[in-house]
Amino acid sequence: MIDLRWVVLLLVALDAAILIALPHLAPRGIWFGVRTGDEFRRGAEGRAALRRYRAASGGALAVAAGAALAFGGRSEFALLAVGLGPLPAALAAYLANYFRLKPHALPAVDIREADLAPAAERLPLWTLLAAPPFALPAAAMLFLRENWERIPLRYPIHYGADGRPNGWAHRTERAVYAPLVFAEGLLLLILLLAVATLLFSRRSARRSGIPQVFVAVLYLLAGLFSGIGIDPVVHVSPAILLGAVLLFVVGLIVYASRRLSAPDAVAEPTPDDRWTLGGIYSNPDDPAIFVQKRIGYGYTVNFANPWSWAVMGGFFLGVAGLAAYLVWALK
Amino acid sequence: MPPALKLRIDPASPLPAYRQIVDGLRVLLVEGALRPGSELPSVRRLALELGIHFNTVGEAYRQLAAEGWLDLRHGRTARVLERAAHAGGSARGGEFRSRLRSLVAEMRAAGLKPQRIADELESARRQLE
Repeated sequence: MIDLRWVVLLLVALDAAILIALPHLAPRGIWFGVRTGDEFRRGAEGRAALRRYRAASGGALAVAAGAALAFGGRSEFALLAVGLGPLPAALAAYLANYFRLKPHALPAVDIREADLAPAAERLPLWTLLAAPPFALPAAAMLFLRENWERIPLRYPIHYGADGRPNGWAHRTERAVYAPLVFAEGLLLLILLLAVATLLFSRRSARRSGIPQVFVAVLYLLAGLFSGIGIDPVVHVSPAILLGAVLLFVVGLIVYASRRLSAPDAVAEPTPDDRWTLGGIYSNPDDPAIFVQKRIGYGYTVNFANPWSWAVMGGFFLGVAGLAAYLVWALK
Repeated sequence: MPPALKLRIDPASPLPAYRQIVDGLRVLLVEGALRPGSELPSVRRLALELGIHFNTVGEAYRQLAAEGWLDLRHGRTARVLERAAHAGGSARGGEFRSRLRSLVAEMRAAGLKPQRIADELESARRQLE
């Protein structure tokens, strides 16, 4: 049995990695979701905003870490509350800064520019690297098949906050392979989302990073679900899986910070008045489905485009369908 | 490697977006930056890049096709054509003179000094040589 307090502490560490980096994960010229220009963040007002945010999120993280050590292993609710608790506090501090800095926003300049070279709408060669992750759950299935007799007739599939198993499955093909079938479906959905993001976003220096990030996510998920899938034969500690996620997130933050500090990492020229709270984009005149985020690294959807709802709705319906299949298979 | 050709539009301009696209592309066509045989981005891709409606780009491409600059027959792509000077161009000399005078008046009204306007016209004249 493992001490789940360490798992909760890892969750808090994951929160800390994300929250500390968050203000810096923005295109050049954007500070707390407001287009203030590149120099603003180094000025007195910009630094004061960062101090306020760090004080609020740092305080919330410290409380969460203390609570993790004191109550982390008591109940699943405590585990979740401690693990996710710092996020709303940091989000509130972020939004408070957004409203405080809004008066410092630069006057809107909306000059659009398009490269006239015909777009190579073929997928980049990078996407070939998306194939191996699909083999990993398949290999895990073969491993389970080869070691079928080592799988207990009744094996744990869910653990309580005290680290003791509280959910069980029977050794049937449906139950044993279900997490790996789920993984294959999820990988496919994510690959389709990556292709859609490439096809329905504007060309830019940042867009070229889409395949790398999506491919890395595919490898992470393939590894995680394969680890979970072979659990009936080889028990993999949740702390190891969470540690892998933490390492991945830290790596992703370092990668994103480097890309966003490049001289050409300027904000996409989307109209300022179409952004709500610095992070929600809604522009019925813009045919783009995916636009570059102003808070964080990556892309968000244009909520005013009906196709955005269709694409994201399809994705989430697919995930919900896979989750329903998993619940049914493990019943 | 030659610099990438760019098309810029200003959505805040009183000139409609389709007009800005037509004018911008026509400048590149007349100056030879876009050569016969070269392909332009598809209507969908250019609209996406500029953040405007597909129909706006479609209208601009059709206008240039009507002027003989583009061939739109090849599916979704637009190809630049070898274009002979229009025979009827000299008949429209009066119309162009009037538009040029309007433009000069607009430049003066916007505060540009006469010398600056003359320099711009001289620069345009040199490009004709």
